[in-house]
Amino acid sequence: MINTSLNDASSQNLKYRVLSVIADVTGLKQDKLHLDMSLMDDLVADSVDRVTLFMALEDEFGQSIPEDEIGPIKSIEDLVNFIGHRLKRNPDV
Amino acid sequence: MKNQDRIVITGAGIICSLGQHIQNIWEDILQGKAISQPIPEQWSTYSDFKSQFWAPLPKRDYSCYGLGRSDKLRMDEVTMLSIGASYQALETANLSFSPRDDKANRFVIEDYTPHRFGIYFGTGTGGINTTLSAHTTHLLKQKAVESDYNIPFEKRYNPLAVSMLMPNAAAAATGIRFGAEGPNRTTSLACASGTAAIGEAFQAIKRGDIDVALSGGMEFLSDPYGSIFRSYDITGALTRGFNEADACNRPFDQHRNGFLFGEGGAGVLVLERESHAKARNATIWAELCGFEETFDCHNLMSIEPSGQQIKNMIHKSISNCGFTNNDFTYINAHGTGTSINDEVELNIIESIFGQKPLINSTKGFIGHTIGASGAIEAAITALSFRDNLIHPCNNLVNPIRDLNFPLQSITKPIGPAISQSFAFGGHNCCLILNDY
Repeated sequence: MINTSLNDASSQNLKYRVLSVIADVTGLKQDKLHLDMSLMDDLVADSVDRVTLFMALEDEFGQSIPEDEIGPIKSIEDLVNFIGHRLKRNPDV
Repeated sequence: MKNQDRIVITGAGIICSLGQHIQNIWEDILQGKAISQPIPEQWSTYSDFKSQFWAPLPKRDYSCYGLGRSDKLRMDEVTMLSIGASYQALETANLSFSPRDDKANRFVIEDYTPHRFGIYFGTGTGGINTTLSAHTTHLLKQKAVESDYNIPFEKRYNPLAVSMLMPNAAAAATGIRFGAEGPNRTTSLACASGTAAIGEAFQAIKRGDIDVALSGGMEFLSDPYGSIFRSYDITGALTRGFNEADACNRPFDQHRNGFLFGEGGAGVLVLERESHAKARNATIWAELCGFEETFDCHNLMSIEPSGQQIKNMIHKSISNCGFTNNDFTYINAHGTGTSINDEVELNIIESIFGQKPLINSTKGFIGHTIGASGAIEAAITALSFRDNLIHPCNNLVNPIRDLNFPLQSITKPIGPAISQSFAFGGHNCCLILNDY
């Protein structure tokens, strides 16, 4: 469940943008992505993919994503929630 | 193994100051279109430059080569230039490639056996843009924030810097992208890098190591401060003193005084064993008959004035291919436009070939792209065979020798031709091509 404390429209938009970045980085089609997919097991093959994904997310949302904060992020849903919380604290630029 | 097979060129790709599609670039050069523009104004913040012009790359669209957002984050520009030129080369060779898996960014070339497909690239400086960018961020990030310096730089230290700056990144990334599991080599011989890389691919096919190669050269020499430009400018090798951008790039002309710095580019050829190309009904542009190299052993930054080692190289390559000096009809010269290089090169050509062969300089239209230049020129020479067309010389008003310089494009079937490169360091390389 997406739990970003954003309204529905913002939440859908956020989800779409995160999935779009994941699709770009992984080369997978967006309609193949599901919120319960594991970042490491289902999406990114190695640490380079993971670093690239977080760099692309930083660029997409204008946020700095410190490495020590991304450890608990395991699934796409975790990622959407993480970005949502950061946007709430530090709005999209 | 069919080592007696000839080696043929079946496709090529170019990205340079004239654009990112080989056919358009070729047509522009044939029509005499040249690129020369003032250097960026912001560079004057950091230095005064003797040379005021360069040949920048146009804005690039890499999406047409399948490169997306993540590729731009993972790759130095030199690697994207390489993949773009390689993609074009494979397309012009009429090869179909399909995605390797459900991800859309890696391919399998259907007519190639992966382990018999090699990559041979040359570059003078590899991912120098990433090196400088990471170094600048490392030095300036904290100080710039504290002191409000007005210096533009990447705010994020690039966590992928190593895999982007290493000179072999372009060849490795291209091999991964197109499923080339054969030898994957990177050669660095400054301005002769691309020519040397093609020569190495030629030798590998000749030895029977592989059947097919993507081979060529690539360079990207840009930074926001003009630092790389300055390193060439300070040597006095660049064109200077001209008021008009269009007049400054003039190889073989009495009023030349240096080369026009090119921001970068890439040239990649598809080389194939003849039997392999025939088996898939490929269109053969030209035969690559030979490659030779010599070393001046003289000076890191200046050509040896007698040109003896270059003469030795040319004589050996002609003899190895079974030709005579009189057979040669076209020379795509190194033709930088520096005083001494042009003088020495034309002395050599005249002493070996007399006044017969047509001589031109591709650098006269696109600037000098260092490690990419020799490969771009080899691709242009292959196009000359494919289309029976020789491009003109740019700005050649008062030639320094009475030789056979085309001033307009010439339509003419050509026989054996040489594409040659001479590099800082003293490296000399040449390729011999012929009509197939």
